[in-house]
Amino acid sequence: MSKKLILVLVVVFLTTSLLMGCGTGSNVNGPGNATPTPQATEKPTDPEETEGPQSDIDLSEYVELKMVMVGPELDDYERIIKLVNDKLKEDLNATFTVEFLDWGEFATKYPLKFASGEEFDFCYTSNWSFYGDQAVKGGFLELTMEDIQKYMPRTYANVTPDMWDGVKVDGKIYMIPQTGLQFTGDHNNKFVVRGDLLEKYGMSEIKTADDLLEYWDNVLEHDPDMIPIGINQSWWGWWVIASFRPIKWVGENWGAGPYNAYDISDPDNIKIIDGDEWWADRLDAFKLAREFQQKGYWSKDALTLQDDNGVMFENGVSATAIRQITMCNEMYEKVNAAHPEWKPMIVDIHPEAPAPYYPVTGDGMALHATTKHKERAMMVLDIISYDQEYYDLIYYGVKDQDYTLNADGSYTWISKPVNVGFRGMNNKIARMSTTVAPNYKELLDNQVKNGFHPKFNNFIYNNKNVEAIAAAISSIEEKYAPILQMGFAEDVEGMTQQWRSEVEAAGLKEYQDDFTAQVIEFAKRYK
Amino acid sequence: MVKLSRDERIFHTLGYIFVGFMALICVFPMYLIIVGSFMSNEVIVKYGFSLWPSSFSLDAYKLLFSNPKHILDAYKVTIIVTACGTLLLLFLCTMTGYVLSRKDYKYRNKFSFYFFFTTIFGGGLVPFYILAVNYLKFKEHPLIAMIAPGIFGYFYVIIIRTYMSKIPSSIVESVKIDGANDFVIYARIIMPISKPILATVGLFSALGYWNDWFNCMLFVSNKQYYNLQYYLYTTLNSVAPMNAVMANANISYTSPPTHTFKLAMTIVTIGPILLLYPFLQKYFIKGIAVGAVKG
Amino acid sequence: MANPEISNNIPLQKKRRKGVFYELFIKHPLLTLMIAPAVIYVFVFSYLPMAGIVIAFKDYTYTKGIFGSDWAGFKNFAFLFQTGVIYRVTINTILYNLAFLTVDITVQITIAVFLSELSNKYFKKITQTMLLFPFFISWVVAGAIVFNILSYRFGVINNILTYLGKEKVDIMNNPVIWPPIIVFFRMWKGVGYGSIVYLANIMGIDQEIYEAAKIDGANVFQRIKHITLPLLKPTVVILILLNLGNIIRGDFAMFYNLTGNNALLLDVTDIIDTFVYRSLMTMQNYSMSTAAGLYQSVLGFFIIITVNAIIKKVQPDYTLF
Repeated sequence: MSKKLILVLVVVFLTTSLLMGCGTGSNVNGPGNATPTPQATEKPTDPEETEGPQSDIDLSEYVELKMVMVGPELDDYERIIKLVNDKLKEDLNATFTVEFLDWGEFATKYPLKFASGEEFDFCYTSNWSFYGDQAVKGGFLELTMEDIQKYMPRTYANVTPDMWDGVKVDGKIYMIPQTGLQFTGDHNNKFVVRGDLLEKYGMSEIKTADDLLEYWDNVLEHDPDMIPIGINQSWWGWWVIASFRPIKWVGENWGAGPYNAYDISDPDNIKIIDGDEWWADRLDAFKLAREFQQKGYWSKDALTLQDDNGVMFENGVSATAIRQITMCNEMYEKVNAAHPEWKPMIVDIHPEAPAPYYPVTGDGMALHATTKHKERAMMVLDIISYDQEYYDLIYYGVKDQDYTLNADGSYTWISKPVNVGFRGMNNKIARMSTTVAPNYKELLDNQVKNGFHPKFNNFIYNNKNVEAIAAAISSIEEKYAPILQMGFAEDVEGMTQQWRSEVEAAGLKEYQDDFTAQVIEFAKRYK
Repeated sequence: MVKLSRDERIFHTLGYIFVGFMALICVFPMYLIIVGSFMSNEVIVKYGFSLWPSSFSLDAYKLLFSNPKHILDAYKVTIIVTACGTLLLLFLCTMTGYVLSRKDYKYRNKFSFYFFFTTIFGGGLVPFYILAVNYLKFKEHPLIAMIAPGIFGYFYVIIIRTYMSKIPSSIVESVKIDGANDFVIYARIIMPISKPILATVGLFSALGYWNDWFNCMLFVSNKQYYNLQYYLYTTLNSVAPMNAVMANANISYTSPPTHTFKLAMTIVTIGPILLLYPFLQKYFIKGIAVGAVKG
Repeated sequence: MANPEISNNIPLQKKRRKGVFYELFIKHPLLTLMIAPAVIYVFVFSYLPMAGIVIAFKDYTYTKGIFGSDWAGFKNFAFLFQTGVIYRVTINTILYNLAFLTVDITVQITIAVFLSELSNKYFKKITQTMLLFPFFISWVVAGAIVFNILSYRFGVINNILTYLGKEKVDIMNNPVIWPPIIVFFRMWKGVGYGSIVYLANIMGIDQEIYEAAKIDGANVFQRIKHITLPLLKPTVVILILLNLGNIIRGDFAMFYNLTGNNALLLDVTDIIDTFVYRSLMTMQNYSMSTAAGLYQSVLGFFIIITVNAIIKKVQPDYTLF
């Protein structure tokens, strides 16, 4: 192998670097250049056509927009999008198509679309799809309040200033948060259980954690083929444990950080809980997990199981489903339709517990940095999100063909449920189905009564300074967390200690300091 | 039939046992999959796969063929891509392999290194995606997007090169004296005697194209051009590995596909490609290669 | 080496100009033309994107692009070495790959040799096709099958134990059994595919050599030992070399799906790729993942350069380049 050849390769490599550099640079660069100049209102549009947005917006040019959405393509998408586009064409002289990224490909494709500067106009975003990260890297177009007011009047009317504050990254808005009710599961999950089993065991109802444990013990005793609650390696294990432990620190104004918790209710005097106190609490939780595992509340192959909590419940393998309230109802509706004889019911074992709302960044829509049709994209998003006619069409299909509208504003499917509606736009104006669980409304009202917005909720951490440590800690966490949270560690204390010493050796202190500094800044900014 | 000597009889017995055993091991999971695809999903979630279908259900296949157009389109796309891709690959790789096998071509090792280097170093997904989408416009040409990235493989070139190097150089020399140029030698002399390796590489390439979902996932957004494996991939991976943050986000899957559906999908995607192999097997007969030259 | 007078019609006096240009375009213009498509193709599809490796040394942001982003030095590599796990997983990866190479090649060659000797046409046709089945079974489904064999609740093994009146055992979470399981399934998946290369090479061997050996009284075992195996040697060596370049890389899908990402098994199943996955799963960082890939490439590159140099000394015909 000659040195010359290596030299040639290096030269080739450098040349390409330069060539590609020019190309990509100009391609991804400057979202500002792409946005059209403010319109000179050559041709005022018919005021009838634009009820919402101000009528001095130029709609003479027809535009085709593209949306990027997560999840599999909805069954009725093609049929419904035609109807929506017919209306949009008339109202805004625009249409849009959707590219769905199925769960299996989402993690690969979604970030690639930003990295390559591929053309699309708006997309789904949320904290778990790296909203903060994406915003910092310049993936989204900044939205100004003036533009929102001008092009998205309905959204402007519905989204509160607090919420806009909540989605800010470095003081700038990149996301249009959804306004539907959403609660955080964690300590506040509800359960779906089987009424037929309760009857069989002579239990009348489940109201407390003890009742639930009794129910599970009964399952173990009378239905040995069944699993009391199915969990697998995703996340359900921790949820089950959390549900049996009242909120200790993550109460009002508390937030969880990297292996610590913060009380930011008084921005000038932030309290931090970490070290021994924090780990002692974790250890308690892991011991409970071990106890549950030993009793057999979940199966011995939970660590490798593919079927999740819901699948096992739906198929009669397990006796309990766990999830947060709205998802509980979804599960109820599904199981009640397939197996009414199971008499599913939603139970709440901690009706008095405070119910934290989900962060506003939990679900929403954003504009792509390189969109060439900023105004029209905003207008389309506005109308499909908050115009009741559009919203009903997108979420429930065609009236009197797919669903009937009841006097109280609820809807009933006519034959089978229509699978439409996008993530990130579950807004206030959503309707309620008539097939919901009988106690759903009541539970939801109770949840709203106990509901609160934790101050910490909208904090977005930027780990830029400690990336290496964050990655190292993540790799350690993934090694111990599943085992301990699902109670598979024989020596709970030893393994917890091991976990602690490993993350500390990996630089936990530095990570916490960086995190805390940002928390303090956040608390001051939004006091 | 020639009578076998004692050592040959022992050898053959060993062979039948060993190969037979391995074949059974390979078929067994396939059997489980077929049986499983005809069972009801509830039974699989409860009791796992079984040797004999304890319940019979066509649900998975009904669902799979509820919109037969999609599956048929996918077959069409997969077959077109596999056929075109394999032909192009065979042409490109045999030509390259032939040049690299010529010992009188001074820079053959340099070129080998040039190719080999790319099997170890790669720029990762982002630059490739940018190149493919922004410059090569793969998004607008779905068929090209699925064919082009796979028409060259150093692995193929190297097995072709190794095979061709063993061809006695006297054959090449004798034709050269007759005034044939290098391309004619490659096309008329070398290719015919390389049938076993052509069949091998052709089969590998076909299998590779048949099993590829990645390029389809990256570049194809028009449903009409989805290939079979992409359907299989999305079916199998619809429950993505998720992290804790995602977990809290109240994601509702529109019910993940059932086990039986995954199994049925696996069966459907294997189908025709298996027919290709017995067809190619006629090129794996002893002595065919050398015989062709002498005859 | 062929005589230049024979291989082309260039007059003798031009022989002195022996530059790269002469070799490529005057001496063998047609061969150069024939290799050109592949050279161009590889340049476009592999070398152009290769420039993206610089991401590993940058603070990559979309707005500034790959080449405009700020330099970050070796910062993106830091996470690999933060805890020291990298050394263990690198060794794990190499050991697994060595085990794969040994077992795969042995079984594949054995199958190929048997298939080439056996005389029953139908048996050969059917078994060859059967051996190819696992190639089509994705790791997700293969993982499901493993689960169904080992599961505590309904696994085949535990069903048998229950049938025999014995206690169920929890084998799934037992790390000891996993390395053999992984090696076995890897062999299982590639056996049909891999044996084809060897089979094709055996088919290319001149039958007369065998006939002559037979007449000389060599039995079938001797014929295989002295004729077949030596003739397969170049192919084996080259395939091993090709694999060595990627000995630091692991098949993530295989490890992830076969073990079901079971954290209890990590001591024996952790390879570089699963480690990187665990490290970066909660962030979205192309720079760091590219850095991890580059670490694997550089290490693999040095291994192969070394081995290739050694082989060049011992057996110049068997080198990769």
